Amino acid sequence: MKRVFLSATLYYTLIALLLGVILVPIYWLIMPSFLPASEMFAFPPHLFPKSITLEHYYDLFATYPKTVTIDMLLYLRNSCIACGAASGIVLVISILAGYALARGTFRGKTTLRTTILLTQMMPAVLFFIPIYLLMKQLNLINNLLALILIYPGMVAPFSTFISEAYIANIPQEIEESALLDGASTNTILFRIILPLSAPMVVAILIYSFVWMWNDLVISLVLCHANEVRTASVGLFSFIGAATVEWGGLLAGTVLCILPPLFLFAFFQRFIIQGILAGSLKA
Amino acid sequence: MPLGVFLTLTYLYPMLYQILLSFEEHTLYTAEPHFVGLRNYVTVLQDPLFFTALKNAFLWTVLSVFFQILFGLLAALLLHVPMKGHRVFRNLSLLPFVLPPVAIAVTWKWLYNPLYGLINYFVVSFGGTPTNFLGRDLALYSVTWVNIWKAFPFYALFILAGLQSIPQDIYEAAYIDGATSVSAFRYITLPIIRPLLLVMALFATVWTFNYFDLIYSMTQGGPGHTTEILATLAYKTVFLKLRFDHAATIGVFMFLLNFLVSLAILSLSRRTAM
Repeated sequence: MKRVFLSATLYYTLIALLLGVILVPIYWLIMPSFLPASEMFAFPPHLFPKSITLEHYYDLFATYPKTVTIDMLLYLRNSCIACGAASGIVLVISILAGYALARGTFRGKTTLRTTILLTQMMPAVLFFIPIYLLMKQLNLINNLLALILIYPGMVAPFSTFISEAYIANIPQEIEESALLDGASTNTILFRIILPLSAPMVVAILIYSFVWMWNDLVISLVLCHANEVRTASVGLFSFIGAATVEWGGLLAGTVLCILPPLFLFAFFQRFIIQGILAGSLKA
Repeated sequence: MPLGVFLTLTYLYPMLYQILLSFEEHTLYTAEPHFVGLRNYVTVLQDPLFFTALKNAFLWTVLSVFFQILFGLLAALLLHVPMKGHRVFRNLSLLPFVLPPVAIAVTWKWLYNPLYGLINYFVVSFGGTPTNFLGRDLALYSVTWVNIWKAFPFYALFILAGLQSIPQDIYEAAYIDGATSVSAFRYITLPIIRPLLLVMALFATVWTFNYFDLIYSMTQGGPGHTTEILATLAYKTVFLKLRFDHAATIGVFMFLLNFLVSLAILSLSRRTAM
């Protein structure tokens, strides 16, 4: 029997307060992006739309690329390329490393784990200068390849903890019987562990993709030219402009939050479990 | 190991290079970087802006972490109550955590807008005067609030997981002995989750102290350096003043501060594990 601490009324009032604080700002981003300019800048503001228009989205796709060279579709595409490729790399290295940490017996395992944990505490901002100079020497500034090389290292420590925690929970007997049948480590990893780890693969891919999608500082440093901007940097250059085009900016922001929002909505169970598993380990 | 290659590329090499840079003269115009001893450290420590940024970073970190954990705890306690729909509420409340910081910055700049922002509408309808939330006096606090808003649901998720791992029979025994829910929280829940809260607070400290994206996309450190923290200062030193060496020195200071907190986390998590 579980005791009920709160009356239903009080509970739902507090929940409404909590969700109000969280959801009203998000509503206030999405709703005005569909308002015609006259309603958008009305004061007092219209809490609910009187008329709806897609003109800001039309401007974003058709007008801005020509007039102010801000091309949101291009930025979204760049983000997809860089984040997609880098997430793939993260998946490969964190499964290999997670398997080694969960099953392997080798010297320095604890040291390795502590090192990975330490890197987790050292955010990107600390290293952007050397990374910038390094990429400059490699001639990779304003090249999406620079992001694809740098992002995996930023995300891999955490996703390694996710995969280690997940693989450690797979019963070892399955692998042992495969070993008796003469299977190699590779066979075990690809034929047994991987098929059993579909939820983990999804969690790692989405976690890395969203992390990279949301990043500003690394892409700002490495890819600032117009053709290679990512979605975050592209939006940012919108804000930096002398006069803020609120209509286009809000519409662009809505487009930029759609991928993380959808991924989260469809895979929330995996993401939440994955994050909790990875951090409980850490 | 592939992990090793990427960690070297992103952490080890940059770290060593950064320390080397802080002892060199290195600007965009320096033909040949050369060793200058501690000169960069003297220059940086003589710059009053460094201490402004340090003070702002301190205020921003302390306020953010304290309220993130406090609101996180309150939200977790609320979401822990097994009423109808609590799973949906939990997932909805996580939304700010998955949104890009730039998008959050846009949203809140729009909400804070002095002319047609929603918040000023409420301020005016309750009889106040329109306020410029991103002006000199309030900018740091306004930005800090956005950071609290963004991250507290994330901490709530972890505290919630901690609450759910507490066995229920402890509470049942306590209630049979006549405990109220307040005393149960005070003498059972809080002591059990205290180590978790502490470790989270330290992690939050490291992450917030270095959190560049949100401040930079909301105010770029302005107006008049009132929201400048070390991370934004280092960025500007590189890309506005083109002084790689000075920025690297600021980076070394940030690294040392981080390292101290990280050591605290490590020793703490060792002790709680035993």
